[in-house]
Amino acid sequence: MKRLITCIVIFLGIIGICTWGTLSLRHHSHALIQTLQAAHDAAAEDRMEDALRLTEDFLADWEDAEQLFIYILRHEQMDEVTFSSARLLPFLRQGDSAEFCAEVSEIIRALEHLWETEKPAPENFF
Amino acid sequence: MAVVFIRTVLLYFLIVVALRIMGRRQIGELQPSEFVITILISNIAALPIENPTTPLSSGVIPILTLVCLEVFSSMVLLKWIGLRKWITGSPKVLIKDGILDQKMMKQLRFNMSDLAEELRDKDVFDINEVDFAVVETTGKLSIYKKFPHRTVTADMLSLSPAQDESVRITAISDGHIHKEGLQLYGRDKQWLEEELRKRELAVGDIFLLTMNRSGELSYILKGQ
Repeated sequence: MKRLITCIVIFLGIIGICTWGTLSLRHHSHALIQTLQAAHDAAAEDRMEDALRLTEDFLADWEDAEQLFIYILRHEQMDEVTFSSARLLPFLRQGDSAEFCAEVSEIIRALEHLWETEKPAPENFF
Repeated sequence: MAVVFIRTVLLYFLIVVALRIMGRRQIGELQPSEFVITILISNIAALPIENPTTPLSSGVIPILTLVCLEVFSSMVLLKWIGLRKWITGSPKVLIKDGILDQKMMKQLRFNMSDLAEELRDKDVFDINEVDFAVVETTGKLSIYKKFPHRTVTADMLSLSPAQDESVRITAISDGHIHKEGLQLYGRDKQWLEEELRKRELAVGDIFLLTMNRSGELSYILKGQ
């Protein structure tokens, strides 16, 4: 009986951790995508200061999210976002909005991919 | 490198705990589902050790999930006999009244060499000695020999023990008293120390001390 109770506790713990991890990933990735999308739109409309502020917000949020994602995602999955993010500020400072927008689109796609591969959906189960 | 080392240590303890939760069984006695889970656990544990970019959770979560499912299924199988038969199978009679069931051998994909090997493992070198043989769900062969080949027992010879034949339990080993052993035969530490005093001995002098139900002591002194 003790063994069964231990297993029930562990099992519920696992379900709790997995649910929390999945919801956190969804929340963070969606929030990051929204910020990036806003930065992309600002750069496309030549509002470079807004783009700079939003990019800095994104980088700070990504750093926080990375601290969580490192426990639940394969590190290779996050590398693409981390490396591409490092190029955003230099592009903005040089006023290269085309390159900036291209890089942002790539990061958005990588973030969408993070969620798509981890979301509890049939295409990921089979 | 340090990451791999720490991960290995963590996973080692996790697997020890996981197998402890699953319960104690020898590898040879594993049911098919337990055998599959043991192999799976060893493979899953290797992934985060081999690849440091894989989060430890990708090893920990599946291992604990498998162990929980194994315990849950064993609990369900305990109650649900029909399902138990379907999952673990049922013992198959291979030799009945000294006659080998060749159909069953074919069904179990058992050849004569396998059978002879299993019989030799049971110290049977002539199949004619066997009255009854069953292949258990673990794959082990259990046999019941014909009467003339059975080991003579005290019961057959109507013998009764001349003295206390109870199991001798360890009361002291390496100078340490085993309270659980003493309790098993309704004794305590004080009683044991009194017995040792009578023999002018101290607990620390003794390497191994065993006793039976009637309190007869047998001991080996340290350095003896």
